[in-house]
Amino acid sequence: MTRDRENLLLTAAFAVVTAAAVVASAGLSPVSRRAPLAVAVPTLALLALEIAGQISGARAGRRLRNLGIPGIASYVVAGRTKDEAAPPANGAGRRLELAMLGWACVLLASTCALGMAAGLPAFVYLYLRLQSGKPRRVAAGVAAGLWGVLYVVFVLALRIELFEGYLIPWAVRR
Amino acid sequence: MMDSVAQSAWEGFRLVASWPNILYPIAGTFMAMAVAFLPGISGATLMALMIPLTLSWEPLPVVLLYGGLVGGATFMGSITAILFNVPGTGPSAATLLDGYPMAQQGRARTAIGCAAISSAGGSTIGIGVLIALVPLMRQAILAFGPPELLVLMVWGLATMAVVSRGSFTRALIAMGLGLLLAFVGRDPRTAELRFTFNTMYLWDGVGLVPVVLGLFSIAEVTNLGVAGRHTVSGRTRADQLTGSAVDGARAVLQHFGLFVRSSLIGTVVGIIPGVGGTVASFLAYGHAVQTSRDRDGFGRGDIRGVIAPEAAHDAKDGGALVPVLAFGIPGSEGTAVLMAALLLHGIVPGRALMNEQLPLVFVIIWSLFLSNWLTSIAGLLLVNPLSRLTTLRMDVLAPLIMALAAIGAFVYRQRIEDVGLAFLFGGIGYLMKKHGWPRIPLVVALLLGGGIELNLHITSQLHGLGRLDLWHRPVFMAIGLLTLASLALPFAQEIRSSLTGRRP
Repeated sequence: MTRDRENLLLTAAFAVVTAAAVVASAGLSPVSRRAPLAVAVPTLALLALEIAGQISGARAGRRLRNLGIPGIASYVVAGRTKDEAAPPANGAGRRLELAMLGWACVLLASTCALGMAAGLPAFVYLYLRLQSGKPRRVAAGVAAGLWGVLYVVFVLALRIELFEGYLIPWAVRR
Repeated sequence: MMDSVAQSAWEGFRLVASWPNILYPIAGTFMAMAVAFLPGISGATLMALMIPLTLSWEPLPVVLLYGGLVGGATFMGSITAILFNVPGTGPSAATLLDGYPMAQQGRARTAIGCAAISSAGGSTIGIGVLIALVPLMRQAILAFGPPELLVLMVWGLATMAVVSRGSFTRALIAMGLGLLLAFVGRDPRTAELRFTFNTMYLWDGVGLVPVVLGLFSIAEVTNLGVAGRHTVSGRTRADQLTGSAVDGARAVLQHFGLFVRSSLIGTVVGIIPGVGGTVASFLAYGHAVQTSRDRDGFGRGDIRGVIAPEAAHDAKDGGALVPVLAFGIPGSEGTAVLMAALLLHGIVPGRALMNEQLPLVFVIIWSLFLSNWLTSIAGLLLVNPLSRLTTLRMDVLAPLIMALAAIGAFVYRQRIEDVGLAFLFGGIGYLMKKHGWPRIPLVVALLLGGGIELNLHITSQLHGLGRLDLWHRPVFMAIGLLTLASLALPFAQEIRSSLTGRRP
């Protein structure tokens, strides 16, 4: 998938979410739907303009986009500062993106299964070993350090009950 | 009247500076600084956690401690924004616009030094103005009703759109999406459920912390990993970093006018309950951009983009205490917890407190002042180790940041679904960054959406009942005109450039 097409898909996804908000607002009482509709309808119009601009390179869309003065836009667009490389658009970049997506899934799965106190250090250990190629001792040390911080700061000091996961309570019940 | 204010100010100062009272604000400051470095735990959370621990205390130490807690968290949120592109608090989102690019260029020391001096100086100006205005505060606060709050929040959003050349449409769209996210959950007026899709998780709305952690920290880690960048600064040794804290401090002196104006913006916004530091920071940032001749550096590491929001952000803290102490109107999560803590110790905000216990009011003000300076001094002392964090290898930092983001998302409301939400927004944030979509308008709109809707509703109800004549509210008219002028500025520039054939 090209970069432009990916951007178009992202814009279309935003449009679908906004359109869903318009449709869902129709079922609300007049008081509750006033603000959502007042926001969603113009946002949808702007999204249509953005999509049209992306498809045809429409002049109106480009001129509207270039209104204003620098600041946020420089930060997000050119805001890859001189030193910051843009993510590679080739196959290697795509593989890295998929790898990061995979690691996010591993983190969620390990947290849901083992809970935060065990799942997060386990994730860190696996990431450091398999993705970063760190020696076993370094990976174990960093994971143990994270566990220490979790326990001392959140459990002992702040007395926050961390999520215990689904697997261990399920195994105990069995 | 002025004599009694001066006497109370002196009495308050004496109470704060005496031994062992001084230890309380210092302890509060360092606790807040440490906690503010952890994602998801705000100063307000820490203050709430401290309530049961301080129940048996006398009122004075509680007031001293909470003054320190209020001030300590403010500056540290900016440090994470500068170093990792993760705004620790809402107002720090404006600081990362130029602070993070500076860190990427290896100039984290300059950015932190500048932020520290701007913060300390801003809070000094804010507190100075506050003390001078204590006798006039009542009129100032009463001038702001729902219509004024509404236009002020809209002005904050409008400023963000105006400083978005290159993605003006996208900034407006992101704002729209942020506002729609703010409407998710139970409608506070009708109790009707909106956009919850029959899931109980969404009844309380979309949490701000998971969205911020996802859009910024997770997205940033993903981006750095995909781009193959080894460290945040692109450098692996501390001696390769450039700039210094002194350069940052010098920059504040070079742009002293901007610093003072931004501090005044922060003070004025802080006095108004329910608006908050996010609007103050963005108004100050917008002011910096709009009043500068050479604007092209903004968003790419311009030091003025650090000075303005930092000065406004810290100047706001002093002002934000006034509506709480004078009228019992908390303007933010943090001041609401502060008020709860005061009430539990028999300190009832309102006229009696302002008249009969004025020294106690000044105890909070001086604690806050001390705390703001302490955080800045600590920031300056720690500038070297902090800036070294930008040379740590991303292949070690990435899993730790992801794990801390997961913890932060969970701790916020202690719901595991928030962790999933943070990673969902991490994916969205990465794609937005990759394709040049601004993320900050989305976050700020999510933050202000509830307030905008509530004030819009109250304004329209009062207007409908004939209880509100907007044409005879000078503050509403003035801010409304400023908002319109801000929005008209890009169009005026476009017309001018069309006529002259030059880009603005």
